[in-house]
Parts: sequence; C-alpha cells; structure tokens
Amino acid sequence: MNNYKPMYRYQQRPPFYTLLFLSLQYLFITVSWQFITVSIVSATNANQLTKESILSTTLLVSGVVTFLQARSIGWLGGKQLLPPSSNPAYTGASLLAVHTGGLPLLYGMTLFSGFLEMLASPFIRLVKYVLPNKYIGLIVMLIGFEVAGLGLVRLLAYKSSPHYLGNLTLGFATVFLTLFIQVKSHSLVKYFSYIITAILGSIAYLVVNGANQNFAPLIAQVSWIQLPTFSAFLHWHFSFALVTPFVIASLISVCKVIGSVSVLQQLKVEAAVVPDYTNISKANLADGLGTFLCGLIGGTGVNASSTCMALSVETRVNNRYVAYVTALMMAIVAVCGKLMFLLLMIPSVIIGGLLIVLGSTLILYGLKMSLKAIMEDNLALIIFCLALVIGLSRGVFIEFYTHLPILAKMLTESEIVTGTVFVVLANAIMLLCKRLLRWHNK
Amino acid sequence: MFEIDKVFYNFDEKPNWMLSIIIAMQYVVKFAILLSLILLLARMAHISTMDKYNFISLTLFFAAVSTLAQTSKRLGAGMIFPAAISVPYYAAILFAVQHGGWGYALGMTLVGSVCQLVLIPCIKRMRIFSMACLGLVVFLVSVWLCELGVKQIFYNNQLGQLLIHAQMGTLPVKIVSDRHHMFVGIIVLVYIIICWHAKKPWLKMTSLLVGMLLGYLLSIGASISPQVTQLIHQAPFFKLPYFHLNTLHFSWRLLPYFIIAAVMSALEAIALITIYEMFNSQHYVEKPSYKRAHRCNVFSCMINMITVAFGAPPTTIVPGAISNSFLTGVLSKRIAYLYSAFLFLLSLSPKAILFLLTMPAAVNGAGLIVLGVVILRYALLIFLRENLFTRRHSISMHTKLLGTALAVGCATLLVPGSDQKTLHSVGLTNPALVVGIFTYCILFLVLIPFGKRKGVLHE
Repeated sequence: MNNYKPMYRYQQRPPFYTLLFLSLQYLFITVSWQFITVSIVSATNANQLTKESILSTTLLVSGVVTFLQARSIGWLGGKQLLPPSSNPAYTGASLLAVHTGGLPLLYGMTLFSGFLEMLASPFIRLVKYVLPNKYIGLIVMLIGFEVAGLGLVRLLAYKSSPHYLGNLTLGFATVFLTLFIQVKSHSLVKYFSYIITAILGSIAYLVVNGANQNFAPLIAQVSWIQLPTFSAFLHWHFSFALVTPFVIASLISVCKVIGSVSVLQQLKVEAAVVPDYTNISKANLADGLGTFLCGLIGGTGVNASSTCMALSVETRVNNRYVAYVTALMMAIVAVCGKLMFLLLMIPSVIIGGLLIVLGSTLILYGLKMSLKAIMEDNLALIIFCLALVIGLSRGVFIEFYTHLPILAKMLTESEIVTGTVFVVLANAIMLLCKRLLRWHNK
Repeated sequence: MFEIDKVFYNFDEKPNWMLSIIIAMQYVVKFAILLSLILLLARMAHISTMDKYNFISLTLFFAAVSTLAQTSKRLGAGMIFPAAISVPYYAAILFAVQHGGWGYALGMTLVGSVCQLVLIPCIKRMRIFSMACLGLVVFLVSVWLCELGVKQIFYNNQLGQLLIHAQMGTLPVKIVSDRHHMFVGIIVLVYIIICWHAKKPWLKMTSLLVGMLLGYLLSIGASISPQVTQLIHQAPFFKLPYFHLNTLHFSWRLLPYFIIAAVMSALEAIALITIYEMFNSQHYVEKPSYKRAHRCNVFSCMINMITVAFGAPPTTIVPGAISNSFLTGVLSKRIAYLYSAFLFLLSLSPKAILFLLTMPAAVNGAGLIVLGVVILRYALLIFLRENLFTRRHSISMHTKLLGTALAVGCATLLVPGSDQKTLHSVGLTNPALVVGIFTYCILFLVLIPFGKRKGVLHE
C-alpha cells in the first residue's frame, strides 16, 4: 500500500542516507529537464564557454529558488519542496527569441516573462472566485497527461535508431521496473525506485546500444569547474513581436504553480481541502523570481517542476531538509561541468519511462482531489468532463490550435491552460445562468 | 450527488408514436455518418458504384436484423442495442483490404468473429477485468469518442461528406477547417447541453436530433456543394439489395490484427453492457454483466458471420448508441423496431442514404462530444464507487496499475500525428484503448502473482 500520509513531516529531519537518496532523486529529475536548455543553447552560435554558462546559471538559479521555496523569506517562497526546472513552456518562445535576436533577446524576454509572472502573484488570490476548488484536480490531471504524453514521445523518439525495438522495450521495462519496486518492496527502497531504475536502465541501455563513440571526446571538452559568466548582464534586448509567446509562457507557469502547490499543500496538511491562495501567491513570486534571475544573469526560463511534485506525491515527501540538500546538490552540479554532462547523458527512453509513471501518479492524485466533489454536482461533472476533453484536444490537434488568432492562441497554449480557461469560462457562464434563472423566478 | 440517468420508458413500455419516431430517427441520423466509412472501404477495395450502393444496403439490412434480434429475450440480450458498422474491426478491415484485398478482409473478419464468440467466457475466467478495469475501458472509449467529435468540429472539411468525396474519388488531402461550420458545431453542442438539463423530458429526449437538424439548417447553403447535389440527383431512388456469397481468404499475417479487434470488441461489449445494466436497473452494478454480454455477443457474432459471408462489413453495438439511450432515457423496444424499420427502408434507397450523409461533420462532431461525455460520467462513477481514488490515506496496488494504463492510453492520443498515423495504419481504430488495455494486462500479469489476483481485484 502506498500511504499518502507524509513520510516525513515538513520540519522533521530524515536520516542521512534517506535524505541523500531522496535529494538525489529530485536532482536527477530536475537535471533531466535540462535537455530543454541544451536544445535552446544548441540553436545559438555562442562559444562553448557561454553555452556551459547558460546551463550552469539555469541550474544554479533552480537551486536558489528551491532553497527560497522551502525557507520562505518574507513574501518569497511557499514553504514547500518545489524545485523548479527548465520549463517546456519556454522552449518555443526561447527558440524564437534566439533565432530572431540571439542571446541578448532571449535574456531580455526571459527577464520580462519572469517579471510578468511575479506581477501575477497578488492576483492569484482572486483565482478562488473564478476557479472553484473542485476543479483544481483537473489541472493536476492535465499536468499528468502532459507529463505522460511527453514520456511517451520520448519513448518513441528513437525511430531512426537501428535499436528502435530494443529501446522501446527498454522504455517500457523502465515503467515495469519502477512499478515493480513500488509494488513489491516493503522497505525504504520503494521510495528510491526512480533513482534505482534510472541507474539500472542506463546500464541496460549501454548493453543494448553499446557505448557512445563520442562520449570520451565530448566529456573532455567540458570543464571541471564552470562558473556562470554573467554574460547577460546589461545585454538585454526587448522585442514587442515576442511579447505574446512569453506572456503565454508566463500564463502556463502560473497555472502550473497553482496546480503543484495545491497538491503539495494537501500532502503537507491532510485537512487542507481548500487551497491556501496566499501561500500559492508566495510560491509563485519565488517561481517568477527564478525566471527573472535567469534572464538577469544569463539562463533560460524555469518553472515549478510538476515531475518533482509528482515525485513528492509518490514518495510522500514534502520536507524542507530534502529541499535544502537538493538545492545544495543543484549548486554543486551547476558549477561542475563534467558532473552535469554525466547526468545529461541519461538516455531519453529511461526518462520517458519514468515520466509515464510520474504522469500516472499525477492523474491518480488529480482524480483523488476532485472526484468526490465533482460527482456531487451534475453540471460541474459535465464541465469537468468537457474541460478534460477540450484540454486533451490541445495535445491531440496541435496544428489546429497553432493557427488560431493571437488572443485565442494565448489562452490555448498548452493542455493545462486550455483546460483551465475552459473551466473558468464554463463556470462563469453557469453562474451567470443560475443568477438569471433566480432573478427570473423572483 | 451524480445520479444514474433517469429512465422515462422501460423496455416493455410504449412511448407515443411521435416521440418513438423522433428518437428512432435520432439514432439513424447520428449513425448515418458511419456509412461513409463503408464507402471508404468500398473505394479501397475498388468496388464499382452500383456495388457500393449494394454494399451499404447490405450493411444496413444486417444492422437492422441485428438490432431486431437483440430485442428478443430468447435470441439476444433482450434489450435495445441499435447496431451500426463495427468500429473496432474497421481499421483491421481497412488494413486487410490494403494488404490483401476484400476477400481477405471478409475471411479474417469471420475468423475474428469466431474468436470473439469464445472470448467473453475466457475473459471472465481470466480474473483480470474487475469493475474498475471496465471503468478504464469506458473512460478510454469515451475520451476517444470525444476527441473524434472535437476532430470533426475542428477539421470539418476533412471529414465532412466523406462519402461524397469517396464516391467522386476526390478525397481531400489538405487539412483545413471551415470557421462557419465550426461555429455551427459549437452552437449545436451548446444547444444539446442546455436541453440535456432542461426540466421538460421531451426537450431532453429530442435534444440530439433537434440540435443536429438545427445545425443542418444553419449550415445549409455552405454545406452541400454542386457536385454533391448532382451525385444525389444521379443516385437511384429505389434499389433492392442483392445477396450473393463471397469468396473468403485466410492469412496468418493478418490474424493478430483481427484478434486484437475481437478482444477490443468483446471488452467494449462487456463494459458497455455493464453500464447499460446500471442504467436499466437504476442502481450501481457491483460486478460486470458477463452473462448478458455473452448473450449479446454470441448473437452479434453469429449475425456478423452471415454478414461477412454476404460480403458486407460486420455490425455491432456502438458506444454512441448506448450513450444515446442514456441521453434520451427511452429503452422501449418500440424504438428498436422503428430503428430497424428505418434501416430497412434506408437500405432500399441510395438517394436517401446520400442525402443523410450531407449532414455536416461539425454538427455530427458536436453530437459525438455529448455522447462521449454521457458515458465518461459513468466511468468516473465506477472509479468513485469502486473507491479507487477517494481513499483518504492510500492508493491500492490495483489502482496504481490502472492509473499507469490510463496514463499510457491517453498519452497515445497525445503523441505526434505521424505516430498516430502509424498506430492507425497497423489496424488499430482506437489506439488509446488497445495500448491502455494491453499495458494494464501486462502489468497485472507480471506484477501480481496468480494466487493474489482475486484479492487484489477486491482489495
């Protein structure tokens, strides 16, 4: 049985090895998203030093934000274990910025996006008026579907490889092994299923595909110590043409923070049926600050990692000491180039398999959060079902959504935003109709 | 609390003739678009125009026979199960037509039907499929149905009047969407949802038909092209179908695709009949209705064997039909008789068939979304009643497996278009269901030892 009671309370200090392995899992999950930053820097013609610096800065800022989220200083941080990672929502916008105006434009627009996200924080408290609590689970479910979808895409990514079938089998074996450990183990090992699977999977990948010929020359190119060069400082550019994609990225980030922190609040305090929006607002401010800092000193946009949140749900951990150690590990990896390179070499199929398991955890938890409340109201149930379908359709019919007019495109940029916007609109219409009916009956 | 939809007329009750005709017409109009699939098949199989008409007539004829037989308490399930072309077999048949020919498609469908005959008792003995798993099947089927509806609204020009384009040999290749039709589709969707919640039962019962007719009227002028009008004009008004036995072929290579189709058909039948049983009895059913599903399935398979022998594609209960019964709340056998009568009449008139097929895809899509949502609620009800996700402190091992299957199944819908096409091209009509169920079965068989399976399913 997988208990949802917290394994360690927020203030409780776990034993050293448990702390170490739990933090390693978070580090591994966070670094696995660095491939987004890698894909963005690969599109630039910057030198090796700048590229390494961007990767280092992004991870370093992630570490700082992880610490801030857990420690909470003033209005910054929601006292949650919520490490940020490179955000897929920024991929398209950042690539566009890099192609249009190079790195200065990327930094400038990332800075702007972070500022926007921070600006949204005071207004998060108003969300409760437009998005009833019973629909929060829907956002979590949609995050889960997005994560699982990304996982499946990464499993199918080796189509051109001669070992396609072997890699596909390996990906699904990862899913099986993770579940196997979680289901069969009765000791602490079950909570480390992800790191165990990642290590075993990587070894199996090497057996199936053989060692990468370019590995030795590539790792030789990377320096042992790489400190951020702060190359972005005072080199920011701004383009009005790119405002829309970065506003969209901010919107997605805010939605993800709302969903993630709501789940973590329930994990921390079981009686927390109603989300604490002040806390979410603080978490969002810290999250926005992360992106802002990345833009300020030269990194790519980061956002609360939903996969880390899923890991917290799976391991029942929302502990500040784990956050501190994870933050420290991130900082170490950020300044040690070779270590980061090694972590980045974890095969895509293995990460894909793990993402599927984490996605399924989020789907289950989302259903758990909303199902009972939703089933009590017939009309809310229909809105929930429709929002789920419309949200999913964003991932199914990408081509249609990308050709929408600019405003509609902004409100339908990802599964999460599409589903949330639909719920907000449908709920508003429902309330309006009820008011009108009541007025008519009077 | 969500309550099971109200039944206004039971199996033996008789609604007035006017209402009966409207509801029966609702089924006919809703499933007419499925006939376009038959035409697409005929085109792939290089069948001549006159034979195409016969092809459709035969399918309609056997669907009518199947619907009539299912209403009989001695022969069939003793319920109203309006039949239409079998969706799980469709992609497999298309694959067989492309890689062998029509003879192979028919022969392999016959083999698939034979397999399907024995599948339900086997599934019962396997002790894998609990109520929660049937909830998973209903969830994946309904989500797929809804996504199909969304596709018909968004890409209405690609799917609209598929039959006509298939006839003309000018299937559109460019994916475009018509804003006007999309707008009409959304209006129809809103109308049906509003009427669904109306206090007056007749509004609820007729919501789908009235909504679709409203959509048809709104898009008139923009929907029927001159070529289509000409084609309808050329089609004969009356034509008797002719029956002749076809040559059937067998191929080992095609066997897996048809076995998958048979398994999916059987599973869909169990899941749909179980929720139908819930609706019929007006309270939650604790166990899958294997007995009724088996009776329904046996008869459906036997009809299918005769159908394919005469060269027509198989028919079965479609999820939309069950959903439509929930939406209307009318289970009277009079509806089944009238539906069959309409199908018989329709099978005699190619002109009427073509006319029905001019229904814009966006309008049909709106109906499909509502029908999907209707049964999606039942999937969530099963999840809730089986106490899967609402336990305060724990998630069971079985739930974990179901969650993973759900994630993988739905993620299949989210993979890029090229991968989707690959899944369809290997004979999977609903890849989400196939991949989801396959994942569940493998996880269950690998992770749960034989001795503990019964306990796990009931924990």
